[in-house]
Amino acid sequence: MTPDERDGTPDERDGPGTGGAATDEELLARAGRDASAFEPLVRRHSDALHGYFARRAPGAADDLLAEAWLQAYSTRHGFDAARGPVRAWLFGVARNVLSAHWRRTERQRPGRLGDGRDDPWEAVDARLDAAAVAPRLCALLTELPEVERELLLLVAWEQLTPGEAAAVVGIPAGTARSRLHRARNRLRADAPLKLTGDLA
Amino acid sequence: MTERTEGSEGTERAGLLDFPGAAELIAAGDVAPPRPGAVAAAQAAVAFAAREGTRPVPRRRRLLVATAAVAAIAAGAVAYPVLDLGGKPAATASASAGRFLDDMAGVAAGAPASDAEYWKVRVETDNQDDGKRTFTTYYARSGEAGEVKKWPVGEEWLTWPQLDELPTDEKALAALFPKDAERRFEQIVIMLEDSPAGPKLRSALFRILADTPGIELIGDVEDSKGRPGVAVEMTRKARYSTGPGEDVTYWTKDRYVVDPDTGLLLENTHKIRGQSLPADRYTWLEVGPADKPADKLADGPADKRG
Repeated sequence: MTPDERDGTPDERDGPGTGGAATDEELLARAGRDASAFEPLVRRHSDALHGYFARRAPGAADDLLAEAWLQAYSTRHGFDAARGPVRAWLFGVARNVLSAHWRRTERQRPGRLGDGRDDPWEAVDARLDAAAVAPRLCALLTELPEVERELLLLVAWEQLTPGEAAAVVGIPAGTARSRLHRARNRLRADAPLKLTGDLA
Repeated sequence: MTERTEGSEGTERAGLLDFPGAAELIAAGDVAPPRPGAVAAAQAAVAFAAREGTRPVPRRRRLLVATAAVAAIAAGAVAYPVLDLGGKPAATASASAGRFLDDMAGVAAGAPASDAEYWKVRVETDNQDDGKRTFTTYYARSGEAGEVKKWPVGEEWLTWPQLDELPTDEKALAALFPKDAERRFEQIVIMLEDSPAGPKLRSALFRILADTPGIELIGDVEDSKGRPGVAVEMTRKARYSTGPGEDVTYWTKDRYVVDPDTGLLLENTHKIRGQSLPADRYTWLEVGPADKPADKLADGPADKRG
């Protein structure tokens, strides 16, 4: 990197608004050779990624956010547009960072040693509890297979499309869709009889 | 969060979220937006990594360096890099390390105080990823222009003027640092490395180290520049991520070489045991007051590759 490139944001160098106008994919492609092109991505997606961590590891969200961005930065060459958009890739990085955090702190959590789970379901469960989500729904969510639950939360909370959620979890989009439908059907199946609404 | 799904994707999402209690579930995901400091810290970390070059830098070290060097722009506390705190049996400070560090407290107390406006730090770093590099940085006491460096104390990051307000009574000062011996060690040595802490503060820092368990006295050594010094070491367990979801646990030996005549830190090396992970070295070539910066005020490390 030349000193010139180190100084100033891409917005300043490329004219105002460039960072804002470029798509995530363009920025990431440019970041391969011009590191400063990465920075608009941080501004753009930090709120969403921080939210992801805040929901699942509330005490460590700030730390995990910085860690996720460093991880994303150092593995930016590994992004493959064929597998999904940058946004999905970033959540995939966040998911790995969270999972590593969860395992790293496992010994600090009483009563969970050796149960082999590495999803932060407990934090999510506590969040649902606090938000007064119906116990019936909580119980149903707990019983869902982990991948289905994760896909569902990515769609519900991170507002990802099923295709994006699939890319985050690393399964084909079609598989994700059928799993999400299956999850929804389970969540419906045990519902009290609906006397109005569609019969489909 | 803004609604972003539209059209058929939005319809699909709505269809998938059509079950009893879905609205409550979605509402349960409401979280406050991040503090500006959290995003600024992430930006600073990435900016620093970008400046350091494109080759991978060990995650722990990178985080540490990034947050310590450029936490400046982050308002509020920056989380400290996560270290594994559970795996090491409690050790007591070796008596000889304690005695040496106590001696250094005396030496530090007798060092001249300075009211210079600037602080100059010239450091050579060496690791397998980046090779040998030298950074020269000036910090202004007033903190008005360019980069303001901060040093971690517990959950806070303090500027130069704030360092001057720290208590210099050992007990009062120790209460501000983490209780955990390894984290305490790490924060205190960061301040001893390159901060403009005054003689009384440096002296108190050495006294706290003298009472910190787990530090071993290695004895007389020469640093990589051939300067004579006395080395102390802290061995601790840490984790390093080699890729998404892949963590490696390793033992790292942090060695500090102290100039026994001045109490200044000459060199720091990290040696990693049993793993082929990069070790690194920080050699402080010059740390001290300066009347004025050589050319321009610290606007980021002016680096040159060696």
